[in-house]
Order: sequence, then structure tokens, then C-alpha cells
Amino acid sequence: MYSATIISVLVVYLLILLAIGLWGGRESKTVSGYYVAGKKLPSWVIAFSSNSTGESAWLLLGLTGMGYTVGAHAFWIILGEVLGIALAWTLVARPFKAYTDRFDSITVPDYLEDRFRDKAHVIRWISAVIILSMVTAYTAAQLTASGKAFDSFLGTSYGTGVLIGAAVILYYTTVGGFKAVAYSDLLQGVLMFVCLVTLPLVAIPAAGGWTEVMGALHAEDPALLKPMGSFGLTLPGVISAMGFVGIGLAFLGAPQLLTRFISARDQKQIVEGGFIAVVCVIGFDVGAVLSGMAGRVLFPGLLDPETVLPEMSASLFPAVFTGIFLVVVLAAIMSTVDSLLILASSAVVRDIVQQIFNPKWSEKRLSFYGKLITVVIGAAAVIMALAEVRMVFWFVLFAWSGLACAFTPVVLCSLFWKGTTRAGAIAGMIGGFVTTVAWVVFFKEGFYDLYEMLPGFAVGFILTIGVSLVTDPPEGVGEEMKAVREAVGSPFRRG
Amino acid sequence: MIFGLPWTSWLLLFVAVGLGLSISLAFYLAHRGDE
Repeated sequence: MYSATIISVLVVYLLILLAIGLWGGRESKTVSGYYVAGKKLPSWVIAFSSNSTGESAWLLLGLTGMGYTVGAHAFWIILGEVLGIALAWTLVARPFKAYTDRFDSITVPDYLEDRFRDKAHVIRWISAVIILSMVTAYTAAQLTASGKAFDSFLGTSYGTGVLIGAAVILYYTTVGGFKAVAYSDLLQGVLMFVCLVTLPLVAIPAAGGWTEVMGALHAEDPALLKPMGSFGLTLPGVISAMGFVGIGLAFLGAPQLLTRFISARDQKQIVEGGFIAVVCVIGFDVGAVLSGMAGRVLFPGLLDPETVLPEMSASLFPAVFTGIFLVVVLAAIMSTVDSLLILASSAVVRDIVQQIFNPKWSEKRLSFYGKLITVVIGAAAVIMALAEVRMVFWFVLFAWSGLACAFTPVVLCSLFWKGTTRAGAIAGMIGGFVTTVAWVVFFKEGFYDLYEMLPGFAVGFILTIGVSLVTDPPEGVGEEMKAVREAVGSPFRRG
Repeated sequence: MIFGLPWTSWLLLFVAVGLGLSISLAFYLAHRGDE
């Protein structure tokens, strides 16, 4: 398994990433260049970058494992993610892009501060604390996955795997900035798409064909083919389905995804990118779930269902493709980590240093400190990953929803309701984030494991709207919103 | 059962895929000529 072929494929992939880093370097000498590639990215780059950032190694290992474990019940995840991405691009992206261009924002906290006229910078501080805490832990967990992937596919030590993964990501992220991150995400997204579309096309015939796979799953347990799974139409079943759909809500407002809309060259890129992103996620998710279902027939009784993809890649394909599947798992990890690192760096250098302390530094110097902070946060994550802090794993469970619940309700209200106030936004951000954490720690077990995204969203919205109703919105936001709406028009009507 | 899968599961899968494609296509067709 640890053949020279696999290593060769891996080396070629890593060299391509290093080259992308060098190529992106020219753009990364200013703050705007480093954090949003100078707002020049085309549709297919922002579409694939957004999807591959949103989907970490969870897509390849977790969602295939979910198809293996619960069968057709995992179709609810496809519904949630496809709807989340379709609505993000059609409803959120254009007005958000119009606002951020109007304010000349390059980060989500930039936008929120200008939208709510937050001269005391409270929203920036809250955003920075939430982003830094979530990103460092999430990155550490992804690097842990990198260590394990190297260990299981190549037999290197765990620590070597963590260090190789981190070194490559840190190199192209610091040297190449957001441009390198976005273009490497494109490469990684295309690799993930091709592999996840190919895998069921090979695995289902290998298991005897579609009807045979379904027949074998039915013979093992008829619930594997039903949308409500083994729960049936019961309260736990409905809660489980809602939780699966809820995973897709994060696409509507997680800051690492909204940054892609800011970096688009213009509104036209968003119009084209929406369709590409939806087709891409359909390939990702349908491919992953069907692969897991076929994998259950091919490899029954796996102790860890999340190993079904490595098992299939090793058994059904020649060595060169096994190498490509290893690269795809690493691609999923790297495309998430690079985007999170650059988000955290922007939270420190752009949102705190440049905008609050406002030192008279040149763009080049600020960009240099941005790169330095990227390395520092990456190094902190490496130390956590090397120490194998197991707490990281329970922490990462809500990192995705923690970021989403803190920002999404506030961003949605800010885009569509002129009555949203600064106090409402602050309450919604803190409430959404704290609820996510508290739900996992105190309440989740008692509520049929309801996914924290749903209560986090509910509290975020209730607090944003409730507090806004009893406070006054900033002056001039009504005219501003009217101008943005006139500029972007209705999502589904011409003109 | 249709091709071995209950019709309810097919329905869920088609709603997921169809809804996503319809929304994004309608959005694209409405704005493709915008400046």
C-alpha cells in the first residue's frame, strides 16, 4: 500500500500547491491583496473555493461513513447542503457583495461595523474572539486528521504527518495569500468532485449493480433504504432529519464562506458561480452518500464506518488512484485549513490592528504582519495537534456551527431588515455562539442529540430581532438598503 | 419500490437535487445579462 506510486502522486500534488503559493505571491503584498485577492476572482474559483472550504475531511470520511451507517436517511444532509448553498448564492451573495463593495469592506467584521455604524468597535472585538477561538481548535483537529492520514496511507509517524501537512499549508497560505488559497481550493475542489463522482460509478457495479446493492441493503435492514431510517416517523426521527438539514444552514453566513463573495470580481461572477456551486455540491454529496451505501455491501461489518472510503480506494482501484484518493483526503483537509488560517489572520491584523489601533504602517508592513500571524496561529494549532489534545475533538464538533450561529442570523437580518440595530447584532452574535457551546455541553443529550446548529440559529435570530425591536437602528440604513436592493434587483426577476 | 429504493427516498433525493438546480438556474437566467 505504501508504494512508490502513492508517494509519487503525493509529491506531485504537494509540488503543485507550492507552485500555486509562489504564483499567488505577487498579489499578497497589500492587505486587500493578501486577504481577498484584490477582489478579482472569477466565478468558478469562488464557487469551488466556497464548497471545498465548507466541506472538510468530513465530506470524504464522515459523509461516506454516514451513507454506510444510516443509508438513505443521509439524503436529508444532501437536501440541507444543496438548499443552503442554493439560497446563499441566490439570496445572500449579491446584496452582501453590493454592501461590501459600497463600504470597501474586506472582512465580515468590516461589513458589520460599517452596516451598524459601530464606532466603539464592539462587533470587531466579539468577531475576533469568536473567530480566533473556533479557528485555532478547528485547525488543530484538521491537522490531527492530516497526521492520521499520512500515518494510515504511508506509514509515516503521526507527528511527521502533522508537520508535513502544516508546513505545506503554511507555505502557500503565507506566501500566496488568499489568491493561492482560492486557486488551491479550486484544484482541491475539482479533485474532490471527480473522485466522489467516480467512486459510486465504480463501486456500485463492483457490488453487482444498482438493484443488487439496494437488494443487499434491504436484506440486511430495510430501514437503510427509508428516508426516516430506523427511527421511522417518530420525534427522534424528525429531530435527526432536521439536524441533518441544519448542517446546510451554515452556508448562508459562515464568515469563511462569505469572504468568497467579497473576493468576487463583480456581481456577474456571483450569477455564474451559483449554478456551478450547486452542481458541485450535488456531485459531492450524492457521490459520498451512494459510495457509503455501496461500501456497506462491499465491506460489511467495518468497525469504523469512516474508513469505508480508504477501504474502497485501496480495493477497487490501482495504486495510482489510491494515491489520488489520499491526495483528495488531504485536499479536503487543506482547503478548509488554509481558509480558516487566513480568516483568523484577517481577524487580528485587519479587524483589530489596522482598524482599531490604526498604526501608520504601510500596506506592505501590514501584509507582512498578516503573514506572521498566519504562521503563529498555524504553529499554535500544530502544538495542539502534536500534543493530541483530545478536548479538541469535542470542541471541533461545534466549531462549524459556532462560527455559523454567531454570524449567520446577524448577517441575514442586516441584509434584509432595516430595523436591525447594533445592540441587536451584538446580542445575536453572543447569543448564537454561547447557545451553540451551551447546547453541546449541557442540553444535547437530553434532546435526542439535536444538532446545535438549530438552537444556535433560533437564539441568534430571536435575540437579534428582539433586541432590535426595542432599540433604534442607525441613521441612513433605510436609504442604504433601498439603494442596494435597487442595484441587485429581485433574485428571480429580470431587471 | 422503484429500482429497489422506496418511492419516498427517491422523492427526497429528487426534491434535494431538483430544488437546488431549479433555484440556481432561475437565478442565473434572471441575471445572466446584468451589468
